[in-house]
Amino acid sequence: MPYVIDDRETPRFRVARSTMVDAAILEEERRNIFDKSWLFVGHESEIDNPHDFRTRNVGGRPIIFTRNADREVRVFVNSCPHRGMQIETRGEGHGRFLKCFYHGWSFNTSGDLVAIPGEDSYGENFDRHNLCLVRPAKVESYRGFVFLSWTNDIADLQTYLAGATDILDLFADQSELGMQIIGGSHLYSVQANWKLLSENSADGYHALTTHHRYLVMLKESGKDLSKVFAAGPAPFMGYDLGNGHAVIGGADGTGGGNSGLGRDLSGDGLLQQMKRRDRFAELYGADWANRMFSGRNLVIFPNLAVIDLIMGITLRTYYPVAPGYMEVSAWSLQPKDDDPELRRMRQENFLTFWGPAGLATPDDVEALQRCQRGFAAHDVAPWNDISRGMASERKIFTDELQMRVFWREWDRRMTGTEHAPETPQLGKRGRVGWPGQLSSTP
Amino acid sequence: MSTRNESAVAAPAQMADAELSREVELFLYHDALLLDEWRLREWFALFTPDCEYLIPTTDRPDGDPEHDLFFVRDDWFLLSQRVDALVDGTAWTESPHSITKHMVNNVMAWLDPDGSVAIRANFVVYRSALSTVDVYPGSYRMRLLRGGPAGFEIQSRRCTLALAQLRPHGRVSVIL
Repeated sequence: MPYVIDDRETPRFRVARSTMVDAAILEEERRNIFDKSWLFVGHESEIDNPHDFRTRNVGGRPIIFTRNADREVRVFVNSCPHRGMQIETRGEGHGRFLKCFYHGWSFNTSGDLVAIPGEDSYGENFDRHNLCLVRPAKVESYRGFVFLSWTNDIADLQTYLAGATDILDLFADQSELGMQIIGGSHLYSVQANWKLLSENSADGYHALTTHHRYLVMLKESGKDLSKVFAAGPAPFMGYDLGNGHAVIGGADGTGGGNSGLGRDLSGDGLLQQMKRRDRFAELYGADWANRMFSGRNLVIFPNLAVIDLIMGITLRTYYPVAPGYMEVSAWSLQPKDDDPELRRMRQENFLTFWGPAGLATPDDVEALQRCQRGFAAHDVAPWNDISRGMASERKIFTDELQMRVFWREWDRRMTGTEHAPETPQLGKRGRVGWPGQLSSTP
Repeated sequence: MSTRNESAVAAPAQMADAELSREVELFLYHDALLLDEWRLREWFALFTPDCEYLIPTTDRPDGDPEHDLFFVRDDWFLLSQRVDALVDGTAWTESPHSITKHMVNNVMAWLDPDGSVAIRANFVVYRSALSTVDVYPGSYRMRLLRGGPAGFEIQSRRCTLALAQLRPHGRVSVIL
C-alpha cells in the first residue's frame, strides 16, 4: 500500500494513517529524514557570550550548543569520548570547561580535551587530539538560525533552505540590532505523531473552529475581526518554497500593520510599530516592509516552525520519541531593540496564543492527540484527506498546499517517489513582495 | 505591577503568622473546592480587578514576566476569558472537562504593613482525563487583600511548577 496518493486528475491527495502509528516507519524516518536533513539547533542569541552553553536533543541525539573563546559557534555531541557519559545535563549555563564527572576528563568550549587525570598511564603515543568532543558532520548558520546535519552528504544550508531563506529574512530583518530568543522555554510534549505538528503549524483551515475561544477573546478585547479575515486585495496565500519547505503568508491588508491576530496595540504601541515600519520601508522598500508587518507561518522540513501571526514570533522544533509521542521545544523570538511598551504587548500577545497554557496551543495539542487516538482504527479507516485547494490555481491560507508540499518531500525521502510540484516553487527572490498578491500600500 | 509582584515573591524574613496562616489555609481549601467542583465563575469572583495570574516556565521558575517567557500571564480580562471557555466548553482540551483534585499544604501567611497578606503554600493538582493522570506539583505565591464574601480577595497568584519539563503532561489546561 502506498503512503501517499497524489491524484492530480480528480484531484485528490491522501496520506496513509499507518505512517502515524507504525514503529518501523519511524525507524525509517530516523534514517531517511532526520539523519539526512539540516535540523534546527538554536539561535545564536541563546549563546551570546563565549562559553555560554545550551543543551538539547537534535535529531534524537544529545548535543551541547556553545560558543568558544574566539566567539565561534560550536556544537558537540553531549557524550564523553572516553566512556560515553552525558557531560552536561543542565539546560543552560556558562563555563570555560565542560567536565565529565565520571573520570574527570575536561574539555574546553572548542571541544579539545584539556585535562585528564593520570594521563601518564596511557603511554607515550597517547594523543589527546584523538579524544576531542565529537561534532555533528556539519554545522551552519543562516541569519542567526543555527542548523546541524548528521551527514556530510548534504547540500549546504542555504541550498537546502531554498526559498525559506527569504522567509527567515522576514524574521531576521525585524531588528537592526538583531533578533533574540528571550529567557525561558516551552518544553512540552504531544501524544501524537510528529508529522501532525508540521501540518498543524501552517494550517489556516483549523483556526476558526479549533481556536474558537481565542477568537472570542479577541472579539471581547475590542478587535475588529472582520478586518483581519477580510479577503481584501492581499489575503494570506500558500507557497511552495522547495525541498519540502512551505509558508502561508500575506502582505498588509491581512490584519497586518497592527498586530495581526493578536490583541490590538495601544495608541503608543501602534505609534512605535508604525515608526519601525517606516524605518524598514526606508531600509528595504515598501513591498518588503509590507510583508514584514503582516504574518506568516513557515515550516522548514522536517521539524521547524517559525510563526509570526500575533506579533509574538514563536520558533518551535519537535522530535518523535515514539510514533504516538513527540517532544516539543518552543521559544519566543523578539527584536533586541523593542521599546518597553511594544515589548510588553508582544509578550502578552505571545502568551495569550502560544504555549502549553495559552488560549490556543492546548487546543491544538488536544486536536492532534485526538487524531492520534483516531488513527488506532487505521486498518479499517486508512486515509487522511489533504486535498483542500488542490483544484484551484490560487492557493489561499485555508487550503492545504503547504501540507502537500511537506508530504511530497516526505514520500520522496521514504519511498523515492518523485512528485511534480503543484505550483511554481519560490526560490530565493530577495527583498520583494509576495508573488500573486497585490500590495495594499499606496 | 512589578513592585507588587516582587513583594509577593520575596521570602519574608520572619516566621509566618500562625493565626493568619490558619485563616488563609481555610481560604485556600475553599479556593480548591471551587476549582475541583468546576464552579469557576465563583472562583473567578475571588479576584480583584487589578489581579494577575502567573505561571512561569519550568526552566525559568523565578522569571520576570516583563522579560522572560511564561506559560501564563493573565490579567483580569484574560483570566475571565480563560474561565469562560472552561465553563462553556469551548476550551476543547477541557471539553468534557477533566477530573481534578487540588491538594494544598505547607501554608504560610504574613501580614504586610500595607494590610495585604503575602502567602506561600505548596500544591499538587491531579488531573485525570481518559486513561491518563497528570500530576502538577508546585508552589503558590499569592498576594491577598482582606475583603469579599470569602474573607480574602486574590490580587496576585503565581503558580510555580515543581517540574523540570511539561512532559508528558503537554499542557496546563486546568487552573492551578
